[in-house]
Formats: sequence, C-alpha cells, structure tokens
Amino acid sequence: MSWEDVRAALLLVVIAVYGFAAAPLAHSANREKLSLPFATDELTRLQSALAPMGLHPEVEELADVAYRVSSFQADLRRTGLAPFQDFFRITGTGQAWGLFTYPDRFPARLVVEGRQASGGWIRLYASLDPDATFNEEKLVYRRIRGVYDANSERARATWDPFVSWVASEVFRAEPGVDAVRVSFQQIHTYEPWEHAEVLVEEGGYSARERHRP
Amino acid sequence: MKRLWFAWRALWAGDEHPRVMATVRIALSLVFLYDLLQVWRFHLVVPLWGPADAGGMGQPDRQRQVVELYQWFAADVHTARLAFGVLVVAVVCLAVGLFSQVAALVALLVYAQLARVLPEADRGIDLLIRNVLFLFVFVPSGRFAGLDAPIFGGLERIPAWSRRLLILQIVVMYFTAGIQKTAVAWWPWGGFSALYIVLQDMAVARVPFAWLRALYPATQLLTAATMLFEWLAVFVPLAHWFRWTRSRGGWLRAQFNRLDFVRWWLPLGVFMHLGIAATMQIGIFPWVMLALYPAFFHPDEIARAFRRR
Repeated sequence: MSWEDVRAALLLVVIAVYGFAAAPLAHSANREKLSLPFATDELTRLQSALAPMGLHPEVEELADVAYRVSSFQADLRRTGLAPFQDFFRITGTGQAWGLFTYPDRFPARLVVEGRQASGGWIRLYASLDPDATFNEEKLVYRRIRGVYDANSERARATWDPFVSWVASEVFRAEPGVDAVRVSFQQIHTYEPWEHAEVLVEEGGYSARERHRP
Repeated sequence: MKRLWFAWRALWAGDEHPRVMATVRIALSLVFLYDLLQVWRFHLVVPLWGPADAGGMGQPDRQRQVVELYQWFAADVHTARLAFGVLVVAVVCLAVGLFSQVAALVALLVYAQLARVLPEADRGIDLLIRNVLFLFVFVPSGRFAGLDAPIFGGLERIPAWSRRLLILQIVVMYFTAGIQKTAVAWWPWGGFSALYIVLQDMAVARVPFAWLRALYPATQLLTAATMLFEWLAVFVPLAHWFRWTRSRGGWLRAQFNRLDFVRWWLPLGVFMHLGIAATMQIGIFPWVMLALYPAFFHPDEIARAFRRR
C-alpha cells in the first residue's frame, strides 16, 4: 500500500464522516417549539401550500408529523455520529449550515431601559432605534447578538448573566441611572398585502431588572 | 471496484503551487484577527469567556461538563485572558506563516474550547473557520509567502488535495444551506418572501428596511437568486472535474467547459456576500467566505492572469 493509498483512504473517512454530519437531518426535536408563533405561522403557510394539491391536514397534524420526522432524523444523526463526538468536541469542527433556514416573522427586538433618579424610565437602547443607541456597537457585535438571539424564544441560562453584563455597562457609563431593565419586544413582520404596516409591535417579554449595587 | 479506487486516489493526488493556499491562509487569518480585535476593543474577553463569578455569560465553571480549559487551569479571569492571548498569537503566526501548521493546530484547539465556554457566541462561521484551521494543520502553507520559508526552506509545490478539499467544504456549506431552506418563504409557493422577512428582522438588519415594501418584487428576485446560487453549488465539483479532464471528450463535459460554469457562478456568490455585508449586521461571515474564494482558482490560473497584466 502506497502513501497515496493511505492518503486517499484517510480522505475517504474524513469526507464520509463530515459528509454525514452535513446531511440535512434535524439536530434535535422539540414538540413544544412547534407551538411557538413562528412555527405555527410556518405550518399554517404549509397548510395553505398543500391545499391546491387536495391535501387538507390540520396544523396540529402537520406539527405531529414534523415532530416524528425530526425525532427520527435526530436519533439517526446522533447514533451515526456517536463514535466521532469526542473528536468533534475537542476540535470544535463539524458541519451545520442552516443559514436563515426559517425566516422569522416574529423576530424579537432587544430593549434596554434605565430608571432615573426621578423614577421615570428612559429607553437607552433598542435595535435600530436612532434615539436609543447606548452601547450600540457592542450590542450589535455578532457574538453578543448571538447570546441574546438565543434567548429570544425563551429565557435560557445565559439570559440572566447577559442582563447583568448589560446593567454593569449602563451603571458604569450612566451615573444617573439607578436601575436597568432589559427585555424583548415582540415584532410581527407582515408582507405588503397582509397589513398596512410592515412591522407591528406586539408587547414585551423576558423582562429582567438590575439595581445599582 | 479497483478502477473506482484508482479514480478516487487520482482525485487527491498531484501537487500544485502553494500561492492559492497561502493567499487563503493570509486572508482568513486577517479577517479572523479583525474579529478577535473587536472582542479586545469591546472588553468582551471576560464577559464572553470568563468564569461565572467574574460575570462570564457562559458560566463555564458551572456547566454540567466543564470544559478542559477550566478543568486544567483555575476558573478565573486570567485563564480566559490567557486562552484569548494564545489564540491571538496563534492567528498572528498563521497570518505571517510562522510555524503555520502548529499555529493552526493551537488556534483550532483553543478556539474549540472557547466555543464550548459560550456556544451562543459561536456562530456557523466560527465552525467554518475551525474546519479550515483543521485543514491548515496538514498544509505547509507558511513555506510560501510566510516566515516558515526562510526557516524550513521555501516550497514551490504542495499537495493539491488541500485546495480540492477546501472547495468541497465550501460547496457542501452552500448546498446543504440551500436544501435546508425548507421554509415556504424560500419557495414559489411562499412567494419568495424570505429575504424581505429576514431584512425586517431588527436583530439582523443594518438599517430599517420597511421601505423595501415598495421594492418587494426585487427582494423576491434576490430570494430566488440566493436559492439558485446555493443549489447550483452542487455542480461546482463536477465543473472542476470536467475542466481537469478536458481531454477526455464527451458532450456534457464539452458543454460544461464551454459554459465555464464556475466563472459565472462565483460572481453570483461575490455579489451575494457583498449584499449581505451591506444590508445585514452579521459580522465577519461574508468576509470569511470571500477570503476562501481564491481556492476556486488553480494556482496556474492566477499566475497566468498576473502574467497577462
């Protein structure tokens, strides 16, 4: 066996393993997520797309099918890649290229508010608000955005530390602020023929407050 | 079976001038370095990768499976700063081609640790960076246009498999991104509305894009073009293979070579990434992708292009 054979064999293994990792299989399945607004909206649109083909499933039925297919795919993926998980973990390599797979019609807008000595709250930062640009450069930086993006569906373990970090930044830069509130504002995006406005604000959630120590 | 094996072996055999891989090494390192300097400039080393008590958002010392970094070293801010410092030095070494293969390995392993400290801050593009760093562990790219050349001797030829594998990686990325776009918004039955919706997302858009309402058909066209570009990626390896085996003849091969598929597919990608850079705040993603694009050219093509000038 020549060196060329060894190299070709090694590349075959690498391409097979990483190729399987790249296969468009669901990484996980979560039935609860299929009840979130963006998922329900997606399933409703799928339901409409199926109607001209004579198929009229209920949204719940579509959600059940999606969950079963995703569960099967996730199990298949997990089992197939199990022998290589340690390698992927140590090298941090892999294949997962879902880029804007599901455009979100219910995106979240990060809002940071500060309470002044008078007791009134002022808006310090809100995404794309020209009048509230506190720490904008940092808050739109991709890694920081990644942290709060991940918390926009529901508050995860990183949400409280993120809020504390935002608050510490505010307290350092704004001596007149004695409390900070960080939250998301739900936005609903409409297509031109669906609504008179493109974006409609639909209330806030995941609000957390921090007080000056 | 034997014939198939010989064909597979031949696909990865041969060598070529290192100028393309050296260009990718330098371009990728500079983009990555820029991103790391952003972390430094914004004082984010500890918030992103520090331990819980120091305000680290990932709370790595409280995770169920504590990363090796915080098992082997103290769970304090010095460890986070040390890891970041080592990563920066390794990327600088890679950029200047000093101990480039060791530098790629160190950068890969340290960056993998940081990714696990706070996975939310680690995006798809970081995964791609690590995949390419992994590739550079096996490529003596610093021995051309790098400080490895005077130390270990310059190289005029390196194995060609590395560039071919890089092309395959980019193609897999685009194609699987395309086939995973199963949301109706990406398809005709969803009105090709995806780009319009994405650009309204305040966490992503660079400026408010409500005015795109008046240009909705243009966004539909660009959505379709994005899908077309990503799906067509699957033909890139075939186009390269046909160009490589030009002398073998055959109708399909002749058509592909006449069309010069990659020459018009690639500008679509450049346009798409520049468009993303202009309209979305997603950091280094477009620039990393463009830094990898030289891989689509054979080193001799680049030499010929420069000679013509």
